[in-house]
Amino acid sequence: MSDVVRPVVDRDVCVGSANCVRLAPGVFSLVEGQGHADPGGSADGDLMRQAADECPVSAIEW
Amino acid sequence: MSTALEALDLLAPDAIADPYTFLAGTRSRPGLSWSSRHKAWVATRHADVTALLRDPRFTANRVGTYLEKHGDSPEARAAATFYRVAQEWMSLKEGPDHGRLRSLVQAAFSPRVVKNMGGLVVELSDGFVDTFPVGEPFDLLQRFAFPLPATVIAGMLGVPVEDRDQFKEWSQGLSALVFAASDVEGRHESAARATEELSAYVADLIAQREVDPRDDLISHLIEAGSRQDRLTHLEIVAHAILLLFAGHETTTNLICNSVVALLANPAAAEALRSGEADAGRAVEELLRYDSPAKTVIRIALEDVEVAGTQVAEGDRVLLLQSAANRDPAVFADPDVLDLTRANAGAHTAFGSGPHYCLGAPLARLEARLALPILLRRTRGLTLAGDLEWQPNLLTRGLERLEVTITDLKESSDE
Ligand code: HEM
Repeated sequence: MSDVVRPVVDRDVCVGSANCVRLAPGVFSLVEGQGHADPGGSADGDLMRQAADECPVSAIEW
Repeated sequence: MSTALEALDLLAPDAIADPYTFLAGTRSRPGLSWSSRHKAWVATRHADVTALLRDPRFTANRVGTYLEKHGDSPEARAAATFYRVAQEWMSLKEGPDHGRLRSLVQAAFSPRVVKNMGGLVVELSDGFVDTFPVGEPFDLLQRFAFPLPATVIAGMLGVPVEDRDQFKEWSQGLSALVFAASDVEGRHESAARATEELSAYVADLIAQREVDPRDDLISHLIEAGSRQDRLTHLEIVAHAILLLFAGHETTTNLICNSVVALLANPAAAEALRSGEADAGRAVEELLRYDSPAKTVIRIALEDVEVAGTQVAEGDRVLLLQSAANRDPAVFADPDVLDLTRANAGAHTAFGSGPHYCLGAPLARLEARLALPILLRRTRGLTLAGDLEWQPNLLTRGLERLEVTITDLKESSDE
């Protein structure tokens, strides 16, 4: 749990469905209708993995 | 100008046969256009359609507005059962209510879950191809394009294969209402009956999985969420029905429309068959070129100005994906099928924003695997009848797809 994960959202792929924002509002936000990940990342690797797995267009990576 | 064009009658025969030619003129006019036939604004440009899909000043909940206006009409009462279920659907909710349902269902239906279905898609596709008759016409829709997505989603949910034909009947009862084929007689009654039977069936399945959970969607929908926030029984029934139903017609239409486009473009078909064209990218272009989803409906929650047009609170806007996907401002030579098109993925077939199609990974997977199998295993695939398009406002689908083949290869011969 101590390793910080820094996800990035591929803005060419993101369609703004905001699933990641609802899962982890402290990390992800919508900027001009598209997902944006805080560069600080998160220490909750499981949650980040869930956000990446559930993204309907697989736009989240790190 | 024809009267159909003046009234912007999207159900006029020429609009149903070829929406692309029909809408080209409307797209070149500034702002939104008013359709007196549909009593709605019409958005046709890619930029306007995409912006409206993401605009929180519009709602996707057309059932709520319908019930407010016509709740006491005999039709609405006949279809009360249908609306009771449909009102639970995430597709008609907005804001936090939508987000909650979307997150809970998304957890059970993630791209990772979907990826595991590849083997089943291949196995089923090969199995359906095995039954094709050689040298005599058959309906590719009934023999391939329909049973594939229907069996996959039924299987994912945990519905036994034997009940598949029953599901098709229910699905057709519902689609007459949801996809707004407004001229079908008795559509409210048939939707009500289909919903009642399907709900009872799904409730039964839930009861079984509650005591005996399996690795299927119904079980995952039951388990989704935390102790404080789970889907209610009615929400599970409603979303099982939504998934079943949303996964049927649209993917069937994607497969059929793709086959029609490929038969008209033999070089593209050969590139996909030989593997020279990347199947994933080809599917994006096929989604753009003849999208199974033609129109998304939104209703203004307040007075809004869109593309210079004043839209009043309560006004309906039809977002025409069929026009946006052929917008020359985004797609060069939009009326040409180009399987290598770099920006094909910018199509609006799956919508955009909060309601972006939940099933997109599944639809993509099915088309990406099934189309090359069909092309590799058949020889001399040709149309054997006229193309008759369903008179629907929201989806673009054929009534049937009569074809012939001259030879069939074993799946191992490839
Ligand atoms: C090629 C096939 C498909 C197409 C073209 C398609 C198209 C669409 C579109 C345009 C929307 C957005 C509607 C709106 O914005 O109001 C949508 C939403 C949705 N689709 Fe699909 N779809 C397809 C396949 C599927 C499949 C296979 C499933 C499920 C198994 C599915 C489930 C859903 C659901 C649940 C929603 C609502 C999402 C929400 O409201 O958040 N779709 N689809």
